[in-house]
Amino acid sequence: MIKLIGIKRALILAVLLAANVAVAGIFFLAIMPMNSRASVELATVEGEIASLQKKINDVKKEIQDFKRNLPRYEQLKTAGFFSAQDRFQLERDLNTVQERAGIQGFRYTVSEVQTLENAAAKKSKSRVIKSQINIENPFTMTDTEFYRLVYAMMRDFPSHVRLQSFSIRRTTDLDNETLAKLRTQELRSLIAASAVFEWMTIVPDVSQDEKKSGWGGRR
Amino acid sequence: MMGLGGKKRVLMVGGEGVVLYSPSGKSGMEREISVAWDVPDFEEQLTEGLSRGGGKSLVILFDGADQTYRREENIPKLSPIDRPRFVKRKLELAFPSYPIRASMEVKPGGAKKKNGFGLSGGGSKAAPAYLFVALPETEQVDRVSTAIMEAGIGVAGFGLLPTESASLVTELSEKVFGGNGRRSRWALLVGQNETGGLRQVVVKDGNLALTRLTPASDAGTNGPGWVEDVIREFKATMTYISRFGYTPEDGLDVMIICGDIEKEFFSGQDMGVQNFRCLNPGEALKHIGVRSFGLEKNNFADPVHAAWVGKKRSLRLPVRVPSLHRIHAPRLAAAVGAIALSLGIVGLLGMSAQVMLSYTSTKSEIANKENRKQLAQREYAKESEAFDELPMNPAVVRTAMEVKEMLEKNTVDLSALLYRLEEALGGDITLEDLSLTHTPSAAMTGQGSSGNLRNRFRKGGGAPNPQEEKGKVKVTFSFSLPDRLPLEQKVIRAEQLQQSLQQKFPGYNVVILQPFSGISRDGTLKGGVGDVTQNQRAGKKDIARFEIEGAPL
Repeated sequence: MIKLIGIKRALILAVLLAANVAVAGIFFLAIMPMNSRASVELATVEGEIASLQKKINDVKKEIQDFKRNLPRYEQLKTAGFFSAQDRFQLERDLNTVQERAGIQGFRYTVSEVQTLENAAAKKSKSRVIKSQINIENPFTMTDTEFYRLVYAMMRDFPSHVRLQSFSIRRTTDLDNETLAKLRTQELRSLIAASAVFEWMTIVPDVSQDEKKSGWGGRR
Repeated sequence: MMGLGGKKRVLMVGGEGVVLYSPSGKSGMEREISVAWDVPDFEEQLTEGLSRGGGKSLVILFDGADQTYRREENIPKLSPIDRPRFVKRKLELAFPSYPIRASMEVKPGGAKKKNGFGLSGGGSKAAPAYLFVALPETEQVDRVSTAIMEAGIGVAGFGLLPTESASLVTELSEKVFGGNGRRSRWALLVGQNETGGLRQVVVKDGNLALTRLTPASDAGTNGPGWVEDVIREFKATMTYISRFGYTPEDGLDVMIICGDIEKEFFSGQDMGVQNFRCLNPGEALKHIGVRSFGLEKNNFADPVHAAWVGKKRSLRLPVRVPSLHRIHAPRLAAAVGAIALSLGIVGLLGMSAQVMLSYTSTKSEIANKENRKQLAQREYAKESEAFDELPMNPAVVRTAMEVKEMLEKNTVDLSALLYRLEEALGGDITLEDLSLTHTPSAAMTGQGSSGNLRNRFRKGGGAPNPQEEKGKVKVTFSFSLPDRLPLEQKVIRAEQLQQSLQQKFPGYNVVILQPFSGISRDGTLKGGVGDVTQNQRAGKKDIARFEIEGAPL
């Protein structure tokens, strides 16, 4: 074959083939990977910049939000929204409610403090706590006084109180016999009523991993 | 048709030997070697001569005595696809014993073109005619093939002198006699080949009409004896062309290539034609635009034919010679392979350059991005510092806001609810009992996600579904109406109250749990007629019980 095509042509073909292989080798084994690495590097840097930019925006947003929310936070703090629901303080607060409602008195039952599951609170190393306050048969003559007590509870008790339920029932008709009993104070109320409130506040969660809540002031 | 391109070497092959011409200078032609067939080391000498070509391709111009020509006119009009197959078949039938065959279409007479090529590639409306040529695979061709193989050079083509030089005759005729005004339809070129034989080529209207090759007589290839031979052969040719339809009215241009000495012995009277001219090879070459030196006394026409073929970009009728093709095909394949590989290298280099440019651009972009990254890092550090200066963790504040909002949503506004209820009840109804239960949303009880509240304290936060966030309120109450009111009126009043509640509490579900005396318009009824009924109802307070349920107001 070499004789047929000539040694010169055979040599040229061999040289060209070798040159092709060499150039292809350089291209595929060196240049292309080098370019690919550069592209990956560029993508990485771009990713880092995007991530940093997002962080910057987040921090700016956080600061802005903080400045906007701080006055409201201070209000809530004053309103007792961050209290640990101390039972002695609770007694004093219920007295205040009774005074402001203008009723003779009422009996109450307060449940043990419970933690309310809340993902947002958990993230900021806080927890929402809840106590249930039951008020039964307050010394109220009419339903109006009972409603006043409910309103006073929601208005004057430390934040945040929500009315879970109430029940009011007329126990007797207002007739001459009832009026006589009222005069002799044999009968002190015309209604039977009860109300259940939930008192919820948010407090630092010291039980989490770091044994330190997120309320330390800095990140 | 094989492309020759550029300057080529031309190997004239004749009955007595071969002569090799190669291009020289800008437009010159140089005679390299001549080797006679009877030289003992013919192949070696020719191989050596061919090897000195410096890579130029070689055109073989054959002018042996074995050529056979036939004009074939019975070719029907066929499609461009069918016609070549038909012509090929016709050619095989015309020359069954000849291994070397070729054909070309001949344009009908009278359509001569300016450049003298009367032969065209078809397209005429008239039935096409074909010129068939054939020659045997002679020992001479084999010997030339062997030398070419040994020399290792490329073959650009193999042509026959008469078919290739028909256009030369036309060209010279136009150049030599073109100024006379009247154009002759016939033209004849006579020339003595160094490779053997006196070649006469006759064209009519630019097409090859007749060709004759006659061996040299004892008078030799020059001098007065040769002139006599030429005159004699010319007259014989005139006899032939007369048979082909030549008449003096058509006009005939006669040109003889000869040396200046032989010129002296020719005269128009001897030839018997008006347009007659002797040209020495130098003059003929000049007419076709080829420079030459010292050919005035040369009596051979070979340089003129060789120069003409060497000038052409392609052969008019390339002939496929098996022995040459065996050499040519692999060399052509090698050449194609070399071109492909060269293109491969160029392509790869191009791609490499492109990728390198891209790489450089990417690197430059990386440098820019790194700068931007550093700026961003500095900005982030600055903002982080400001963040760290805050009196407390913003997340705590935000969480407190979120929790507070969630709780407020789940806290019923008692005043609004009782006000509407009071409005709906009216003055004639006496409430017996009232109870309210507010079931908070799933988010508050920790069963649902409060994540949707997260952005409420931020600008542009999305609005979650308020119905789902507030939970559900259920109010149950019992009431009575004056005892004197007939039961039917009580039922009507209860129905009115239901409608009124529906209006006051849109979206709420208002249900009568217990109708007055347990009787409704479309419910079951159990009773009696007369005093029995009255007695049963007396002494028991008749009340109705309602329940309304919906999202807190």
